[in-house]
Amino acid sequence: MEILFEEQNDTLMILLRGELDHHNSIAGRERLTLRLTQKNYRKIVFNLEGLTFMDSSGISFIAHGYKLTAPFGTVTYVYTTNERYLKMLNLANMRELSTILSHGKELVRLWKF
Amino acid sequence: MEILNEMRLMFLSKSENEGFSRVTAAAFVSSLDPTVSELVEVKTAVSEAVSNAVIHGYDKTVGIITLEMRLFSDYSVEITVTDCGKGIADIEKAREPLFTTKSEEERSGMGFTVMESFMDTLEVESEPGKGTRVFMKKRLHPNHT
Repeated sequence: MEILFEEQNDTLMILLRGELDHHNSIAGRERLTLRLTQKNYRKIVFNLEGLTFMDSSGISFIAHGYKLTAPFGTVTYVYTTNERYLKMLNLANMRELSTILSHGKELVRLWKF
Repeated sequence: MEILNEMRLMFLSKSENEGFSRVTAAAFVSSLDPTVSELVEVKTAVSEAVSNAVIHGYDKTVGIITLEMRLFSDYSVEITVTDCGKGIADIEKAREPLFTTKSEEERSGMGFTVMESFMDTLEVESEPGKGTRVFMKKRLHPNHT
């Protein structure tokens, strides 16, 4: 799995590419921790659009980012159009769907912790 | 109901084999011509079961995980993932959403819930000290029917 970070003002976009499973999340978690402990952000957004596979390890990966930053007032969002990922987020009780944005022809669902 | 094909795959409980096992499962089930969605659901369920065996069953030790699959003429698939690891003391508790014994390692506790959600049947048998057997079944709705 590849992780790309894009910083826009006080928001950190975390772009995930490839396969996110337990094995791949181990190294990814270290990179995420390092980045999130360097600076405080108002918002972090996990963008799952580049993932070709995600199992429940993705849930714990996102929750890790949330737990690291929430005590400092950071709000965590998840950006995905994948119905299976949405189903897993829903099963994990990851709060409500906060916004539905029209993005091109797709409905982009933005989840908020 | 006729068995069309079956296979057994044995591999070490190394985390890199999570990807290997789910790709193998997807390749094997593809002869039933599943929809893309069904194929991903099978891959995800296998990934969850194998990850559980690696993380919880063998817990930093190395043992053998066995993946068995059977394809049937009614377009159903049976999947069994077996380990000889430490087993589960309370299966009912382990199947509860968000329950995990590895919160310090930040596991989500969603493995069995995802398996249950993506497959039609989920059965878990386990004996502490002996190992765990996860059985799943799913009826496919092939592209050509």
